[in-house]
Amino acid sequence: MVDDPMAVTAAMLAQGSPFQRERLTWAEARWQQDQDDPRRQLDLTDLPDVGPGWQRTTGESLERMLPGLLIMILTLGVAMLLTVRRFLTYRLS
Amino acid sequence: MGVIYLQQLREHFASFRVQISLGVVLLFFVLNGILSSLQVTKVQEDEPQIRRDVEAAYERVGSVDDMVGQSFRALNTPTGTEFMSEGGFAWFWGAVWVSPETATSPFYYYGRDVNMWMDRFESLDWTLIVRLVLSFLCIVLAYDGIAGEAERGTLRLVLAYPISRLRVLLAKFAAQLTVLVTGFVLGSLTSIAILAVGADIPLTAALFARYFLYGAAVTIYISLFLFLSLGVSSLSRSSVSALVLLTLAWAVINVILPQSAYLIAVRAVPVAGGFSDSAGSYRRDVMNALRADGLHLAAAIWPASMTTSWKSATPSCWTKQKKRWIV
Repeated sequence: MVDDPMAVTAAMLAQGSPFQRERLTWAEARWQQDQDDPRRQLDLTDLPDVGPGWQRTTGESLERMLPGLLIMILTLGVAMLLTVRRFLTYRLS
Repeated sequence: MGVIYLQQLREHFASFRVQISLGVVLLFFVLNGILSSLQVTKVQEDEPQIRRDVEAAYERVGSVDDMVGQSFRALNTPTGTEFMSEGGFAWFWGAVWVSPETATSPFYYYGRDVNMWMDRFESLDWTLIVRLVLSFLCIVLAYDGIAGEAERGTLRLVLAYPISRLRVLLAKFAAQLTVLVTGFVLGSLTSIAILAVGADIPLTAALFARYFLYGAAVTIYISLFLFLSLGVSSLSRSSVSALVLLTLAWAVINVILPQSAYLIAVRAVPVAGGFSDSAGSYRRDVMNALRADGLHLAAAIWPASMTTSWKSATPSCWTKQKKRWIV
């Protein structure tokens, strides 16, 4: 870790400078540490992949919209029943 | 029943009110076709470039180390039926930017719409036409179906036929449904034709299967409004009061209910925490667990003016490409 990044000068960042060698040594030690410590390794084998399943099938879509569809059909049924019932008893004045 | 159906149908198609209504429906569908063509063309032009950018980001990655500091885009791909039901495609994230940087949250980028303020307006898709225009036409067509005929005295004549009232009602309903479905079919096919010519959309069997499903749902929706209109018409003694009542009902169903549905739903059904909440709490848990083990997460070092915690950060790698990372 760089204790005071603001104090880093261009000369210190030049290739082969003591500062850069020190950083390289530190990075190598860190890399070795990453290799040795299983907690520092990243296993991406179970990462979900983007495949053709991003789009719902018609069946899945229907399943999702079933509650709304049922409400619409039931409301239609109620409206039908009330209208028919009212018209059957409609009195012409 | 067939005689009454045909007579009603003739009356409807001869009526100036219905002719104007069908013209309005057709106009809306033509506008939908033109606007959707422009939208589809834009998406077709944008898509290859976006996809190339996404692929380029993956090609730059050779190892886990390379992933740090990189951002990747998960694309929101068009379904191809946005002209029927836009479904949030224009305003929803066109892509989600994700970063493997564990110490920074993913950030989100653009919607398809260039002008974010346009999110406040609805897209002119078929659903809007059906939901607002066709439903209102149901009222225009059926508000005087019973009360109006009773006022004019024609209902008495119709009921004098040796036919049950149920059949009379069904014939009226079937005639009105035929008129509206004709308007929908003519309009929607015109829209598809414009899209096929203007945006070169493929006319596949899958598209027409969706079209028929959509048409079935539209038929149910129109039927609901027609029966509602006929019901109110039979309850009212004058066609004017039926029209007023139905206009109010239309406003409640199409404006007030959709706007209040969210507020009712969040009170009726417990809602799980949002994505950012769950992602944030998961990240905090991981960070705390690692800290307990003596490990620290890497943190991106943004320009000093943008961060207050860079001095305490203990980054784990040194990327050659990205200067914003520091050892």
